[in-house]
Amino acid sequence: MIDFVCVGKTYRTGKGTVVALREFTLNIGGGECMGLIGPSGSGKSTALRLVNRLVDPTSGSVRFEGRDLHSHSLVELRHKIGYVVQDGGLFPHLTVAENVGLLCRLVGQTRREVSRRVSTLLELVALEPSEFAPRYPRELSGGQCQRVGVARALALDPPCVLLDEPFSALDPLTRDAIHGDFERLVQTLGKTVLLVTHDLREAFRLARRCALLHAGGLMQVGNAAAFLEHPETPFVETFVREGMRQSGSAPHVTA
Amino acid sequence: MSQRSSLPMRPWVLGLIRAFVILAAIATCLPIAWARTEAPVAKVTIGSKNFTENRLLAEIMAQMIEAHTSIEVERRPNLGGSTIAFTALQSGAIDAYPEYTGTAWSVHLKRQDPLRDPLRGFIEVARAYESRYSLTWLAPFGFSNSYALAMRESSARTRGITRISDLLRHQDTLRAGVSHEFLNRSDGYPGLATTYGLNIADLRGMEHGLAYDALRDGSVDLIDTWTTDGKLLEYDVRLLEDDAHFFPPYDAAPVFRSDTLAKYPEIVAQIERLAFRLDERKMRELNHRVEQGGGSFAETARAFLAEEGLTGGGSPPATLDSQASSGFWPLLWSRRGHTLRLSLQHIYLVLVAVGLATLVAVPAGLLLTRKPVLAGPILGAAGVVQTIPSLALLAFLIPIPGFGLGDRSAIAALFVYAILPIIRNTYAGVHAVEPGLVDAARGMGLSEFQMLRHVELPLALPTIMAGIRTATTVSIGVATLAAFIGAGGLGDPILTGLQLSDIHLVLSGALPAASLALVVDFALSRVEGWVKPQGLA
Repeated sequence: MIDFVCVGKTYRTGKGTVVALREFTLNIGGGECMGLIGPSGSGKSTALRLVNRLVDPTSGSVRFEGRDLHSHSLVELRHKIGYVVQDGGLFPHLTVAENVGLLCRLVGQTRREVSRRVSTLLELVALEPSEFAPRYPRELSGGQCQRVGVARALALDPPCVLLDEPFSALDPLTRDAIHGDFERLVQTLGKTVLLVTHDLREAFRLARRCALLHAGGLMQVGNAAAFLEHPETPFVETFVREGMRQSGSAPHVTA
Repeated sequence: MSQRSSLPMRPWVLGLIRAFVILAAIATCLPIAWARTEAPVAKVTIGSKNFTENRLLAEIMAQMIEAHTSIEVERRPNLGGSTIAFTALQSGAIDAYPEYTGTAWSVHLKRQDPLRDPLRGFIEVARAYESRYSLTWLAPFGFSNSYALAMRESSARTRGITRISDLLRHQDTLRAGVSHEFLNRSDGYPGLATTYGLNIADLRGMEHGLAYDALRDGSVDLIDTWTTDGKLLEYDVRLLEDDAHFFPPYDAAPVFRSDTLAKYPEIVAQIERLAFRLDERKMRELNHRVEQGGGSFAETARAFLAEEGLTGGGSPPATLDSQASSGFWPLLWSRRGHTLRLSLQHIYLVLVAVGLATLVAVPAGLLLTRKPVLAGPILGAAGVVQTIPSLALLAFLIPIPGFGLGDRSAIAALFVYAILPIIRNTYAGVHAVEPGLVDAARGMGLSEFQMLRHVELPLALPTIMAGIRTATTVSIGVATLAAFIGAGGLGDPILTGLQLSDIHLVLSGALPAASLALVVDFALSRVEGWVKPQGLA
């Protein structure tokens, strides 16, 4: 579904160039939920943003549905890839219904189709449509914003969803509830999911496989058991140990 | 518009924007439509500078033409300083105005050598005007309105000052308040200072209409004035003798465009009947009569022509300037119709200028957010334009074909000043949209246009509206200067009131202008609240 083939990405800054990814190769199958983990600055967000072309690779290529990203039309590509950012990224001047229904309206669905779709999506993320549809984002809690963000990303029923630290700003209880709902959602809908998080427990709970990045390079790919029982390098071992101990906040790891 | 694209922006916001665009478009077309309705009749336009005597001479010229020829006369009084009147004449916006030989010599011909002999001065100036500008000097009115320095009689006596050279002994303690033109002209203070070796420590520019009162109440000791100034009859002042003969003669005479005289040769004979009818004493008295409210410009001119036996058949239209003011409120009440008309004129100028500026500056500001490289240079340029003094900008616009005297130049100047606040706020407003939201919108698959229309523009609207509000309030103030180029507005009574030292008349323009600014500012602050997206706290 999504293939990173020997991808390199460098950013030019005022002080010179910064390498965000180097020779990054990873295959994510259709319907798979892949977690991208690593300390901050490891390149996991860059990897995610490569998929919907918010950034383009400096070298190598990224494939979606077997074709290089550049052979897809940009807007169509993004319509096939839902995108959820931290805090939900809801437009503050639009109601919940308008946020969720925006893309549907822009691709030409009728008012009736849109409102039906919005209700379905809100029910899917466990928000009562009649209560939440007319609210503005500032009238929602953090967890509710996140749920609306997920509903909005699913608006055009995309085969793939990208999540960038979606649940990291939530308190532990809310996070636990939303994790449960999200898990069920992923299993029901069968979407390909790419989840960036610095929370190891979250990654291990939601993702079937995880990829650990460090300083732009891929350290290890595998399921939770592999990370916990067979860490491939001392860095991975330290990172996993620290991460499991202080779940919820970023693990402090020195390489 | 299809219903699918109207969801994310409140329908009434769009309606408001549409209404505004339509209004601006209509307002833009109006002056063009008006310009087309002028019928081709024999007509000349007589202008004047913005002081009593010049305006009165222009009125006398106008009435002579109206009384003794079949030519219609349009009046363009109060044309800023010498430069605006001269530019207007050169460009054909007016056909004639009264000028002074000394002014022509140093200001327009830029002669550095001193002018001493009045006759030689007149002939040389007339010759140069004819060959260089195709402008014709007709025979002089008969008096010289020369610059002079004046002091309070009492303070001049105490200090023993009778001549300009006596000032040298007191130049460290004297406070001088002189007109801005005098301050800068080579035949004014700079030349005077060189000739006499004068260097007055406390020297500032002030509006001449206020100078006598400042002199009387002691806030200044020395002012510049004219030998024919009507106020000399009223205040206890001493004119200082020009013992070094620095001030050149300023013989007043009508100056016409030569092509106008070729087209209407009958004008020459009629205007030349005015030759040498006025001496300095007579002129001083006429000026005084107008300034004291003894008669309007039209009435005073008519009375003078009658005294001289020059009256013809027709009666010129009554004008509303200079009324005997018995108090501010009665004056304001008696002028209510007039004030309303001027206010509407004022609003019209501001509305068209700000409307056009919005149509240009909002898209331009949006373009800058897409091409940030251009932002620095363009905002910088708009900022520089903002610093051009308004009168200089007007003088610059008058000779441009299609602008000239009147509405269009005034609107163009207001437009120029309105651009910066709107373009800057549009740019800043869009820039202030949270980067995370822009990222989310782009990642969702919104096109650049959809992002602008559904995310950035609605969120920036309050900031853009604040820019329009600033531009409008500033324009209401600047539009009072439109009176300088004959575009009317509430600046008209302010300007006339300053000439006549009639503070009530000044207030009858200034007060409505200030109220207008306050009301409009308040109204637009409400609009700013309305366009604020509902979801924002």
